[in-house]
Amino acid sequence: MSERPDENLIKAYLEGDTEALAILVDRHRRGVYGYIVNMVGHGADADDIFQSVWIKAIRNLERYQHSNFGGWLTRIARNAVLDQARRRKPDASLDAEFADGRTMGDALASAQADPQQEVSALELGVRIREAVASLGVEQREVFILRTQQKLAFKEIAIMQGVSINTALARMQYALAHLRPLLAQDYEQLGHSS
Amino acid sequence: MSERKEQDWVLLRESGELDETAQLSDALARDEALADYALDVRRLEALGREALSVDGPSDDLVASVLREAASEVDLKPLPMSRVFVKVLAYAATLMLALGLWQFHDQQQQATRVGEMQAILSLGAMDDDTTDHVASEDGDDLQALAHMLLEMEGLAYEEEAQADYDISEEEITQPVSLRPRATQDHNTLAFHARKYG
Repeated sequence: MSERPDENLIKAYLEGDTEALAILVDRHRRGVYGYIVNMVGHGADADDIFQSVWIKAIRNLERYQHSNFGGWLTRIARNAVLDQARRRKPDASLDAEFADGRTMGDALASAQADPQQEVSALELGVRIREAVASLGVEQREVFILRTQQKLAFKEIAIMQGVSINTALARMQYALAHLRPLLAQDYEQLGHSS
Repeated sequence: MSERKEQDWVLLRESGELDETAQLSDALARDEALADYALDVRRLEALGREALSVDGPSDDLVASVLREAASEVDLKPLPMSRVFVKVLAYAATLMLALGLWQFHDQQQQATRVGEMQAILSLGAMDDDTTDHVASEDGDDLQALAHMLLEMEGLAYEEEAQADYDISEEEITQPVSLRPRATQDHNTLAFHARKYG
């Protein structure tokens, strides 16, 4: 059976079908939460932001006129991440510090260094996570939005308020930073075979 | 095409924003470094997706979102546009129902008038027909009576039908075929005037 499109579920929810919303939340919960955690780390902040994203989305569903609900949610999540940081520090940007003095970059690094996750992760995966965490905030965000959220560069550019060429340049930078990890991996594969 | 431009094209192809052009295919075929770059992009995007994936939010957190959402639906008033559309729909339904009722009523009236006219038209038949009609049943006696009245010049014109309010009673009891009030009902008096 084919999956009900997001737009169909939104319409049903607006007509009072709360079950339709449950399906919608279930479908996008991981994506939204993944973006938030990758930006601010695990913990109460991520949970608060996740909740506020959905409440804001629900309140604005009637005005939703996009074709990519996941992208629309990610944009709300991005604003929520920035709002959260601004509440901590009024002049905050993506490099803003959270309550414990960590920046989003630090949070990302620690989130990815979660011991439980590392145990099950492949070695290359761990190195990639660390490499992503060491990227500048803009480059890291482009990499996350492109790989994890599967957003198009056009959408990423709009979200970041930059030209598509800038978004592409940030991705090029991130890839240039990560490609040596693959080279090492190829080398190891070459030695082992 | 510059190397940087070619790499951008590879990225846009991977994101689904650019169909593979002949120009890009040629570049990938002749430039080994670009072909390696394209392979690495694909691999890094896949590895990154896996490496950055996190467990979803807890079920409790999702449940609290859904609870909030349910209360939003309960409390949220309908926007004006939807209220207007609903009112319009109700009004249209009501108008349609009234229209159908009126149409049905008119149809019934038309049927009654048709029946009445059919009865009256019997009065216009010739003698042969009258004989036949008169022998049919009691109702046809009314037609015969009408003809007799007509022979005496007492039958009212067909146009006079419009002066009557047609009722169910008149249709089922067509004895109401009577001359106009202005005419003299007394046949003897009439004969007296005519021949006297």
